Amino acid sequence: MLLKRSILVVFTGYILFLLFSYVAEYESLILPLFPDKRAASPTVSGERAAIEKVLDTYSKGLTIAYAAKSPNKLDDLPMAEAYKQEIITDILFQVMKKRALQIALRKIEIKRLDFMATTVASVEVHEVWDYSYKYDKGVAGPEKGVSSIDGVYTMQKTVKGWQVVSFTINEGRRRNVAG
Amino acid sequence: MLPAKRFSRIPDFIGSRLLSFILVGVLVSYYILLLVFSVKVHLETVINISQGLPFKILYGALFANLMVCTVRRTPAYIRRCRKAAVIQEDADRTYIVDAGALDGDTAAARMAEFFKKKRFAVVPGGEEPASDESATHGWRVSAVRRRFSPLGSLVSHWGMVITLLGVVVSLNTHFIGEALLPEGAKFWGTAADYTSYDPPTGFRQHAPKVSFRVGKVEAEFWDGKLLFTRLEAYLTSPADGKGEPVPVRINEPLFSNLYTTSVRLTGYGFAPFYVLRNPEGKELESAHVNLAIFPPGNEDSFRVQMIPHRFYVQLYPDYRQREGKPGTASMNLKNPVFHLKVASNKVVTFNGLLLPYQRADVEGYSLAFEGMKRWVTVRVTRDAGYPVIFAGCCLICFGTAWRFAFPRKDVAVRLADDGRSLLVTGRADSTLLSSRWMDDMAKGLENAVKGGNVDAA
Repeated sequence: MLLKRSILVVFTGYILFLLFSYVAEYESLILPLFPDKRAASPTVSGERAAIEKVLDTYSKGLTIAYAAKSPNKLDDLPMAEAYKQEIITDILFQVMKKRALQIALRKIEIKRLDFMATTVASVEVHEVWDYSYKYDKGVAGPEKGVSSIDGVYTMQKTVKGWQVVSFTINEGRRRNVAG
Repeated sequence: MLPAKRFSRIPDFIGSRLLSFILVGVLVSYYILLLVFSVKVHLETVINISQGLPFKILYGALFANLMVCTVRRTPAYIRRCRKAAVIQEDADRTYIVDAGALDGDTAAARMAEFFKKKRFAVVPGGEEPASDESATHGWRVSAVRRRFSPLGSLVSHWGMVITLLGVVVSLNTHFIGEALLPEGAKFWGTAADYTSYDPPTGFRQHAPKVSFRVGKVEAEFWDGKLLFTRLEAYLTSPADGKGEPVPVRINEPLFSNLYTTSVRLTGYGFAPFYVLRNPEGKELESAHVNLAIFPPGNEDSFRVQMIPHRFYVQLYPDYRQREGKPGTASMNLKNPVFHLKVASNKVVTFNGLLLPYQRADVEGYSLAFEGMKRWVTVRVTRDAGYPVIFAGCCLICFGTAWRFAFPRKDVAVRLADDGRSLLVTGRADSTLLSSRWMDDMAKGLENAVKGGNVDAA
């Protein structure tokens, strides 16, 4: 009898737990336990598509802004202000060097997408960019090459949608070199 | 309409043992669930789950159960401390002791002496059970030892209440902040000094008033591997004070303000001193930069003011080349070599190893690392609930020990109907206690009333 009651108590506990969790914190508590379900959920797949679209817009916009040596071309791009300033500084550096950086995205592969919160995402990518420098008249050049990089975009969702907050290269991060 | 009696049963049920068993059962099952989750998901998610609605409801129910139970039982516990207990059917055992042909006064006097030696307090007459008819036939002596021991239950219950109140205080006052501080840095305890803090709002209300200056940072590793045998930072408080620096070790935090505030070390790293020069070799800027490049293999990056590039740095503190690949022989800063990668947004312009003072060419500019400081991350915690929880736990331990290790014992003696024998009954509060104590009491009493050696018992 006691055993039956104990089992009943524990079972009721589980039911209540799932019920309360489902009602209050389904997105943040239950969904992370089932990664497959999470990936397949319409919310997550919708956000992934939105992020892919933003990265595409950002890459094309970057190509245009660098080629035109015009920070104004960045105005409508989905980027956080601090990160935009970094790019502007870089474009102005190219101007100072009397050259234009011509970059074109050859390939982008999203290796991992993590939602740190509902409005913050970390996107691990592998990118291959073709680049060349087009110097102003009278200045020697040009160099060109292929930049194959692994990096991480930090994305944030605002009222206007997703935007790039930062990009860092992370090739050597957390590699064990001791011993 | 429901009868009023049914309503009066609700508080009974809320404060009942049955409900507490149910709630503890559910709590145990929740913790088992957490354990299962912890295998599958990140610790952060497990912590979120543990702070979820089911747990809040459960803790609330436990608190209500404990509160009602304690309040309702307090008068009963106080009543149980009366001088002489009614010893009836629940007596551990009843002994018949031959008293010989003694008059009541002599027997009573000898028993009183015996009880005194056994450190029992004699209650003349004692309380007689109403149903005990034989009580009217002769005299009766009651004795009690550790009369107030039942209060132990009360103390431990109120200890639990205080502990739970401490948890509530803790939840409302808890502040935890992290700061990254290199050697020589001053920490004033302002919001700007912290790299992160929680709760994110109400900083003035929650943050402790602490200030200190970081002196030397020292680290030692076991066999050169990533196992700290010592991590120590010397702090001087206040930040602009001239007092003796106090060591804070990784396993030994510093406490202040009645143990409500603590400062502990949580991380360690390096802050290289970079120098950026223009194409003519003139220094443009220099500074220490705090980087998360420890343990070796970690990469961190920084930007400078004069050029737009980002500098990605790795450190080999004790550089050795193994099979043509860079590595480190130990964690100690013996032969530092940097791996530097410089990128202009998407284009990497420099990628290679760099010795201290060696200059890396970055599109005509140069960057060199010309010094190194150590830094520590410091966790400042304030929690006004800690002393309350500690006091509550002490009360729980004290009350439980008082109630069970030093239980109340009651003994009652009266003359049997035959006028020659004594009926000795007794009870003790603790079930942990062996009933042998009553055997000893009965033997001792027999010896005592016959005028024998009391200590022999």
